[in-house]
Amino acid sequence: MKFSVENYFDKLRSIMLGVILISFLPSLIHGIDQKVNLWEYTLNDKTYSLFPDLFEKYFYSMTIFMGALLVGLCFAIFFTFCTSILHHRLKRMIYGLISLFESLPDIFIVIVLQLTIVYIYQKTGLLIANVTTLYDDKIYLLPILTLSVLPTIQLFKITFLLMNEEQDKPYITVAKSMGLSDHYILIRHVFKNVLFNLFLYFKTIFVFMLSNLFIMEYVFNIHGIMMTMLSFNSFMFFISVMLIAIPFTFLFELAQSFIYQSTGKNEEGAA
Amino acid sequence: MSLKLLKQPQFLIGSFIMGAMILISFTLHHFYSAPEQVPYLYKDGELVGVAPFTPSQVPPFGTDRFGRNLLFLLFDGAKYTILIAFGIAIIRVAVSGIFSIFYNHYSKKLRPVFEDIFESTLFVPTSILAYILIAPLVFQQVDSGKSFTEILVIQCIILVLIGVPPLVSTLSKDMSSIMKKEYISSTFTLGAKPGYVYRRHVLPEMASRFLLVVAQQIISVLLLLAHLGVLLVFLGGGQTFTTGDIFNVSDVLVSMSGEWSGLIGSNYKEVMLKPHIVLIPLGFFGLTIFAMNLVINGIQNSIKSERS
Repeated sequence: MKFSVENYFDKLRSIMLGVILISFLPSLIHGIDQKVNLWEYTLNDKTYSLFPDLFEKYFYSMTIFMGALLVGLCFAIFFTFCTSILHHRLKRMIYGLISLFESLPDIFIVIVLQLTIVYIYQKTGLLIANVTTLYDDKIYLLPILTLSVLPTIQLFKITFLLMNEEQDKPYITVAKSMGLSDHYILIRHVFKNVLFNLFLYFKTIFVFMLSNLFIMEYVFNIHGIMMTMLSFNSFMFFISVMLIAIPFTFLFELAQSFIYQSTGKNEEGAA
Repeated sequence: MSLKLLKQPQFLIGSFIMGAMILISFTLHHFYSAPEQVPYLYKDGELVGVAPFTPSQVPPFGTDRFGRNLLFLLFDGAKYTILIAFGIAIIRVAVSGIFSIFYNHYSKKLRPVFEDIFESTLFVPTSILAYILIAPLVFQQVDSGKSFTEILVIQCIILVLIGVPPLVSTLSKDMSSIMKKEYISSTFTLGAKPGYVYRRHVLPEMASRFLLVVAQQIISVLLLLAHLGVLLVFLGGGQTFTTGDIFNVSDVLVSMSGEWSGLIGSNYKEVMLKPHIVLIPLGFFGLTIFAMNLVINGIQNSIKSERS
């Protein structure tokens, strides 16, 4: 399946259909509320007009989202690299620890990080970053860091497992028998393949991070795109979801065609 | 398979933790009567503190705003939380199992369309979906005077239905991959009817897969409950209590069932003052999820050892 604009629009149309279905579900179940004005919405007892306002929120949320994804990816790769040089037994311990961390609900981690900053401020008077927003000012550092914690853990776990899988493959044995050093093999070959395989998990990570973004916005009192979905306005909901769906469907399609092409080539090479 | 599962230490530890929590939760009332509420703490006849107390003042976990012992509340609520999560997960998997048989069998043409429409749920986090569907119900509770069980049942139905579409998508993919196997096509050649094939071959082969999916669903339901708790949506609805003195009146929405998300939600405003009231129930959620993760690891290991 090669990427084509037609495919993309086909997919977008079905997604739009699905989102319309979802956005009218509440009013179907609970009866239609006539009072709602389509062009404005309320959040925390404040009324906003829909259109110029929404884009600002959208770009703010997406900045945090992308920043967190980048930071998370960097950290995950860095940690995997660090652990890959470690001893076998230490690796298992770290893996256990990661599983333990993974079990904590995302909201727990968000609250703990927020409280830690407050605690440090109380003890030392050093405010590392603002912990909440008031009115319309924006905070970036802490939301990005907080949002990146869980993807880091998840990405790290995936790369860790992929790395272990990769170590048993025949080409590693060949490379070793050729007398290449372990570090060289690790960086030049294993890492390259692992990074490619990591790419296959993009959808899981995206869904996971979107849910985290929502909880993070709620706890930090950030007025972002996810919070606008909560105001019971079907039209509003539809617009916000589509704003997220349009660019990300494009990315997904692109990624899918890329994966298809490269795995297709791989199969040809193997045959 | 079931015997092999019992040899997995991770599975045993995980199910032991879950079992112990439910057992303690059910038998707690027989051994201990509920500790009385202590809104004020006295020491040598002098007032030392007002509820909520920290874990150091009232060991082991402190109390909530009403002076109720948090440990007791947590163990009391464990049975509701865990059993509701179990129930929703099992019904979800059962319903989507039935759906995916029909879906896999009848609609070869409809599949791409449905798959694309299902994609749209990727862009809406489950907690938001659950919130916009359930929250109007809670507001209605005051107006229409629906009873506790009525609301609980409707909420559970909504929570079940939210999880079905993605499950149908994954389960039907597994089913169609089993249907492509050689022995299935030879059964069809021998004249078996589709109903017989599904009952006799496909479902037994999916058994371990179903078990795994139920365990995964329990985790996702628990996470969903924790999120809904923070968003002030409680299972079975809530009741508003007025606390504080005349100068500082505050309304607190308290969950009517004793489950953990209610504990988190009704105390969420305290998070900056007394973080333990919110963090300890969340920690218990974490513990349960950890136990379920162990169970999942055990199941996965046993499936792996079966294959090799």
